[in-house]
Amino acid sequence: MAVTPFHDPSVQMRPKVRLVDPTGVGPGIRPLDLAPRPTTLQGARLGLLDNGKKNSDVILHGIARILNEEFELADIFYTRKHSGALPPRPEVLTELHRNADVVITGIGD
Amino acid sequence: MVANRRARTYEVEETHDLTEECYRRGWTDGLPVVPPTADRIAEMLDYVGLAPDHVIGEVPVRRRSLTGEQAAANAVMAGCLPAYFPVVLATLEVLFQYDPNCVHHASCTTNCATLGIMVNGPIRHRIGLNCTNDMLSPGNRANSTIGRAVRLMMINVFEQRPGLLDQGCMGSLAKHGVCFGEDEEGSPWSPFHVSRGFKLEDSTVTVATIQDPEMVCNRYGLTAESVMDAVAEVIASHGMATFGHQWIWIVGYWHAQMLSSQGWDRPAMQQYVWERAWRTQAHLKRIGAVIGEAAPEDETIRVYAAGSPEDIFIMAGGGDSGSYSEVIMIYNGVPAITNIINETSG
Repeated sequence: MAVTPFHDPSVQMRPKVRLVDPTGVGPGIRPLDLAPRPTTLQGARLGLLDNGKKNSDVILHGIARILNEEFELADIFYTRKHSGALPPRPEVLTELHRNADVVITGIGD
Repeated sequence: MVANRRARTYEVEETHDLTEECYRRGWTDGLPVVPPTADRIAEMLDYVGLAPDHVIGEVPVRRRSLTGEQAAANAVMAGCLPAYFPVVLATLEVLFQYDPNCVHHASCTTNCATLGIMVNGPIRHRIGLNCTNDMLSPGNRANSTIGRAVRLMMINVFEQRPGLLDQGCMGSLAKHGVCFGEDEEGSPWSPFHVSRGFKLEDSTVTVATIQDPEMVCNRYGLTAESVMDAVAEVIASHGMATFGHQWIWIVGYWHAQMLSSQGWDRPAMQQYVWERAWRTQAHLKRIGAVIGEAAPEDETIRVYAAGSPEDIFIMAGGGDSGSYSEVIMIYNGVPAITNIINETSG
């Protein structure tokens, strides 16, 4: 025997609309966010990611020198992107993960 | 990377302010959007016969994929009619075939490059795409929503959000979306897509990573050379101060009439403008665009704004209310790629 759902006449039922999520976020996929900032640079391994534009190397090495004086960095690892406006190739990211605790990247122009 | 997945849905009371709900969820580009309801999305997908979980493309560095449902949802929100969706899909096809990571180029650079979507062929009239008066302005639904749909995908699916992954410095109005049709009927030359080897009856999209369009207001010249000199000047003095790029020259109606009546065709125009769009290396060194002290020999070295004459793409467009052209720099990223638009009516 079919069961008729109970309808409470004191509750006003309004039609519903179904909105479809247009974002890339979903089960297992969180919104993108920046990585947590380090609490200290003391003894850290610094990665420098040159974006390939003019003077990036000059500025990045200059910053590394200043940071090293203050924080006695354990190592300075330098690498370079193949394009100024494209993400680094996976192997470049892998190298950075392997050789650095923090990374500075940027442009010089 | 998760692929072939369906989007989440949210049930909201019909009387709820759906416009504000979309703002609250961060789904907009700053302008109100059409709420992405399931029925509208289904209509968009049905028009082209696309499955909701079909993966249109993946952007590896973002660890995100774009599904048919997501593309349709953002096209709905942009205000696209289903008949516009083939143009949107053809644009996405160009991007993902060229380099999936080019979404980066097209939406996050400090110089605020964005996408230019240029349409040729019969589809222009079927969807009412503006090819003439005010075609680069707001006011026409197809022009205003096709590029916007892709931009919303960049924001919503690939999180190219200002200040986060979108590191645009000054910003650009062109990021709302640049989409227009060539005025093939008013043009004295063969249509742009025909010059690229397509058939006249083909509907095509040409996609490029562009900077803001720049107006060439030559209302004073009585010769074709005057118009072309003005175009060369705009190209050579572009604010980017970088050279060797590709360029789009949208020849306005009266400029086109003057040029063609004085015997100029596309190849000759490309050659003329290319030869004159340059700056000396000395000049570039003096302004710091090229590193180094200007040496005497630098005064004789020409640095050309366009890589070659063939890197100046010429198409006709705009209205007949005045004598103007428009120049658009193609930034590093998607070089002007032309592809067929597959129309499928539901």
